[in-house]
Amino acid sequence: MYGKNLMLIMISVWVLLFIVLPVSAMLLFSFWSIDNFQVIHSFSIQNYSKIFQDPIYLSLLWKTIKLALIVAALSVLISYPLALFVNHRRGTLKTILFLGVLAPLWVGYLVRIYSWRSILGESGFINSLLVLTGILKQPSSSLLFNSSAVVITMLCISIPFTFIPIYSAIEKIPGNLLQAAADLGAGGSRAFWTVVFPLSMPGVVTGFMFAFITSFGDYMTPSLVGGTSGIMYGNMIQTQFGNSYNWPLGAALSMIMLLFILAVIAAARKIGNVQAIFEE
Amino acid sequence: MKYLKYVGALLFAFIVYTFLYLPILVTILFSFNESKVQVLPIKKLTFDWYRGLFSNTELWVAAKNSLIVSLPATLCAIVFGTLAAYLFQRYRIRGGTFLQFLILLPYILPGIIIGTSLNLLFKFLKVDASLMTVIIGHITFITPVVMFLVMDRLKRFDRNLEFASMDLGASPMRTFLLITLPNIRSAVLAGALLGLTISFDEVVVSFFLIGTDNTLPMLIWSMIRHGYSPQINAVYTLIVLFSLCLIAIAGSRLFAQRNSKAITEE
Repeated sequence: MYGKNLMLIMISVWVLLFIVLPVSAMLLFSFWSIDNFQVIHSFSIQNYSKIFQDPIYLSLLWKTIKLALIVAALSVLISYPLALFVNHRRGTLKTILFLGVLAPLWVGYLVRIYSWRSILGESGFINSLLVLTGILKQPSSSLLFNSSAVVITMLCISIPFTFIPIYSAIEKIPGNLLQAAADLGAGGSRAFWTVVFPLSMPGVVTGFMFAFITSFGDYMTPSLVGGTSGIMYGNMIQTQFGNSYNWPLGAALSMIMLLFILAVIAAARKIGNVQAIFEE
Repeated sequence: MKYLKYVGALLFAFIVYTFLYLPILVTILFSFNESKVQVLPIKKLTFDWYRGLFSNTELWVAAKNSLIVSLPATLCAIVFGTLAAYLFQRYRIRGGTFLQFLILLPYILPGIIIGTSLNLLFKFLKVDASLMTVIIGHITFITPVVMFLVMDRLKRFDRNLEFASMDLGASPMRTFLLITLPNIRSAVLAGALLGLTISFDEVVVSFFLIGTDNTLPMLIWSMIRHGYSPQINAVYTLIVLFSLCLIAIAGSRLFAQRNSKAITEE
């Protein structure tokens, strides 16, 4: 019993130091303001009223939500059939294909964004390929520095995140359920829609949520491949901490992002029983 | 018809894997390209960019800083992650699910929130940004990774061994060290390797916590902002190879254990 309490205290201290205190600091700063590059330590809702009144902030937030929804939807549409494909393979090949989707998660986040910039760029890989094969006469500059370049790059980053929960949900479906479905006369597609698909829903919701959250908060992808038309909400936060030196406004913007994401997690847990994925 | 479906599936999988690996392949390819612009066809191959790495002291200092951050961060995360996993897996705690959720948060939340909130905490406490603050940032998101892997392992590990040990008079601490820890060793190791590679590559959180000493990804981030250099490709090719090796080790460890477990259960 003594050991349990000691561990509990240590873990609670961890949570306090790394989660509760930073978020409290963020909340505190968000009610402060800045004057002449000096932080004014007095309570005011000035930052929040500015964010909710100035159309710049809300329209960027809305645009970011839309973009993240597109990335998450495409990510699920690609990951789901991929998960089915990998799950149908056997033995070592299955292991390799499975790890093959995950591996890019760990081989350089920055390099993948950077590389997409050179792939999509005017003198880049795709353009020179298109010119080389004669499809284009001149390299096109329309591939890079826009929202679709951001979506493509974010997809490349989010697919592994979406794949993991979908795959583990599909893999856990007992084979005898499918046998039972077949015994009762269900064909392949009927068995899929009535057995596999409903049972994989928690994975789909979790995957969708992960893709949405990673894209929503990403500021490095937009600043490398987005150009001026591709900037997102995260870039605005980044600017407040960098060039603008307006930490209180940055804190308020982060706070709104945090609250929004917590709402998304709560919704996902309600809809898709996401907890089941975390626990088993 | 069935054959056509199979070919379609194969083609689809091929396109997705290409999509995932194209940036990595392009990076490796152009790290050997003599020209300073990334245009096809490649006219001449060269090792110059790799040779240049040896004389680039800034890069070496940054790589060293990355190790200074990653090693202690991973070590700390192993201790806390394993502790948390053991606590949540072996004991019923009031509010345990909520605590677990809070520990998981830095893994789920975008790095920008971890970065800004810690940045503001350090500002509030008047702590100057340094490699130390980056280490603290990294601990937050490696710990859940270790916790995940160790919890998964603990779930599949026969608890009766622990009971037997305690029946024979071993203290809980002794039981943990002699029975539990050896059994979850591979999960801890896998967590450590994954944590190390994630931390070594991390730039999103570090961005808000870094002082004057750059880590490797931070240096590369500033290099990218200034423009293109094929040397970045060379550095990243080496990092990719390094990460892939660690992942292969971590992966095979985990899978070996999974499979041997599956065999004994049969």
